[in-house]
Amino acid sequence: MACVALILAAVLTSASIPFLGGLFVALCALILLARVPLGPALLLACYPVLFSSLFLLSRWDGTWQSPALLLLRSLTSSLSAVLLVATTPYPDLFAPIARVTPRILGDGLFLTYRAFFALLSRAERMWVALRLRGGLSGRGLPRDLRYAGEGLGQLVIHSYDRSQRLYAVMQIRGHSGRVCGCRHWAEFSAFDLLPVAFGLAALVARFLVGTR
Amino acid sequence: MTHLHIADGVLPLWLWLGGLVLAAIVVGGAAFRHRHDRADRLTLLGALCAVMLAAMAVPLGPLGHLSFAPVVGILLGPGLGVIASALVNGTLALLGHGGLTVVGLNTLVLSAGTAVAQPAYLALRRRMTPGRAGIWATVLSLVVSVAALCAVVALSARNGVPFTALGEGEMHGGTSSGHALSSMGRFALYSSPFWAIGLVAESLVTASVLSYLARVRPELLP
Repeated sequence: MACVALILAAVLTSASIPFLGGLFVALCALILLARVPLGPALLLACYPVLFSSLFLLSRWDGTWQSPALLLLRSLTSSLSAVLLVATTPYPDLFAPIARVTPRILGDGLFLTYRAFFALLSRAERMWVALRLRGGLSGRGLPRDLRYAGEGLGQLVIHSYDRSQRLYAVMQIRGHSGRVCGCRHWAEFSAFDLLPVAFGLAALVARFLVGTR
Repeated sequence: MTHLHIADGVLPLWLWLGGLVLAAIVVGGAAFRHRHDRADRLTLLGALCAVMLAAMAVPLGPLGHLSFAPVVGILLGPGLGVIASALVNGTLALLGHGGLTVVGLNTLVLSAGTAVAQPAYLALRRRMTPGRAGIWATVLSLVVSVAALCAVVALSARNGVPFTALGEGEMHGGTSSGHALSSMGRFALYSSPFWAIGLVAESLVTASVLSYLARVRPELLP
C-alpha cells in the first residue's frame, strides 16, 4: 500500500509524458517480477481508461499531449492498483482499513467481499439458465430486462440469506468487529523493501525530472 | 450514470481531495447514525453491496452498465444507502474499476441518488404498486445522480484549465464559468444517449426486482 501511495503521488504531481511512460514500463517490469500475468493486468488497467473516454472527449483541447498525458496517468495509476490487488490478500487489504473506519464499514467490507465472489459463480449460472430457457432471447428488451430483474431479485434473496448465516457463524466464533485481528499485515520484511524502494525511487525521479 | 468513470490523474487535486474529505464526513455520519442497527440490517447491507457489484457486470451498450443503486437505496434507506455507496465504490476501486482518488466523489454521486430513492418510493407506494413506485423512484434517483455528476464535471473545469497537476497548465481563454459550462455541456451531449438507455433499463429492472420481492419476500421491502 505504501508503494501504491508513493507511485500515485508521483503520477498525480507529474505532467511529464516521458517520465510517466518510463514509470509505466517500470511498473510492467515490477508486475512481471511479482509473477502476475501481464496481459490480464494491462486489460484490467485499461478498464477505467475506456470508461473515462467520454469525460476526456468533453475536455479535449485539440492537442495530442493532453490525451497522452491523461492516458499515461490513468494507465499508470490503474496498473499500480492492479498490482496491489494482485499481490495482496483481501483480508490484508481490508484489515488496516477496518482499523481506521467505523465497525459497520469494516464488517460491511468483509461481508461484501465474501458475498461477492460467492455470488459471481451463482450469477453466471443464473444468466446461463435464463438464456437457455429463453429468458434473455434479445428479441424484446423490456421482456429481457424484466427477466433479468427477477433474476437479480433472486440473487438478492439468496445473498441476504447467505449473509445472515455467515454473520451468525461469525458471532458464534467470537467476531470482535475486526476483519483480521492479527497484525501480520503490519509486519515488515525484506521482501517489502523492493516495492517501497520502487515507490520512493518513482517519487524522487518525478522531482528530478521536473515537468519537462 | 451514477458512477464517475474517471481514472486517477484527470481531476484537479482540490476536487478529488475535497471529495474524499466530504465523503468521509457524510459516510462517518451515516455510520454513527446506524452504529446500533440490528445484525440483519448489516447482513442485508453486505448482501446488497455484493448484488450491486454483480449487477454492474450486466452491460448496457459499449460504455455503460447496470448500477442497481436505486434498488439498494429503496431497500436500505438513505443512511445505509450512503454506506453501501462507499463500500461498493471502494471495492470497485480495488478491483481496478475507476480510480482510487475519485472514490470520494463517486461515493457522493452514488449516495445522492440512493438517498432520495426510498423516500420517493415510500411516498409513491401509497398510490402505486411496488413496481410502478420503483420506476418513478428510480427516475428521480438517477436524475439526482446525474445532476451531481454534472456538478463534478463543471467544477473540474472551473479554472478554465482542462487538465492540470497542482496548478500547472495554462488558461485556454474564455471565462472560467463559461469554460466550465461548455465542458459540462459537451460531456452531457456525449453522455446523454447512454443516460437515456440507462434510465430506461434501470427503471425496468428496478420495477421487476421490487415486484419479484413483493411476491416472494415482502418483508425485505420497506
